[in-house]
Amino acid sequence: MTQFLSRSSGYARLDTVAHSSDSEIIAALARGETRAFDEAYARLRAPVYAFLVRLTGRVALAEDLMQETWLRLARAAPELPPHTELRPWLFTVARNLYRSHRRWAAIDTERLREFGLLPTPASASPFEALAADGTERALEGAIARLPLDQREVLLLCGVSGFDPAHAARMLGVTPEAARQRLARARARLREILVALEKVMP
Amino acid sequence: MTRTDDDALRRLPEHDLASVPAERLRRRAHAILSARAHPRRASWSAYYYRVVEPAALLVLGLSFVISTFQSAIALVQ
Repeated sequence: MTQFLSRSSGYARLDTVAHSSDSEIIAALARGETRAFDEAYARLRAPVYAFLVRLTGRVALAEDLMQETWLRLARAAPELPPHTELRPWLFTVARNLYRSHRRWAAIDTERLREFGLLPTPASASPFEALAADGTERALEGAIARLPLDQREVLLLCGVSGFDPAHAARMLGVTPEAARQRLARARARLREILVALEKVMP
Repeated sequence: MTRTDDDALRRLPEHDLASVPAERLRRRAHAILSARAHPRRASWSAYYYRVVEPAALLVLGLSFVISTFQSAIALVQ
């Protein structure tokens, strides 16, 4: 895959190259080649992890879900269709695992906080402390304060760069519903940012 | 949501997983993949659980059904 990418030049070819390298990786994973896993892992580990931390708001939970996401790739590789796109596949698995975790968690700390039964932590997102400047910090905090439906679509489209039609397939909704959800998320994010600016000018 | 916010969202950094859990995860995935690439020969215990035990249970079940049927016929006659 690395060789393939290094040969590519120009934006127009990038999409084709990325697709064929995904299918190469999936074919190699199905044969049990660890090198293929390393290539995918090096390329997509950070985006998937950042998505999970921002989605869950907890580093420990994100690490657990990260582990399960990548182990599922290793286990599911032989059954994956050859033209599966790795990046959306991994993001979909990660998102579904978090949804599933929330459904089955005995105590949902996020909901307890919503009802005022738990104190609100000093920072809403683990990435707030790592922010390089005030804008980044405010944005991380505002994303963490969005409702889950809006947070996941904003993370997929706004941060991770998926288009709404792609995100719709990942979320299991119609493209129109995804666009509406994204518009609501953007409006809500602006409201939260304005409110945060008033509190912390 | 302004264009500035959109740009800022796209520029948010991708903080990576710490190196220790990242390496641990990589090794676990490698173990799964290696097990597939070099499958061990089927052991006797696997053969027993896959073939012998189900066959024995099937034979026992069938003989129970047949004997019950024969007893019922004998009672009627």
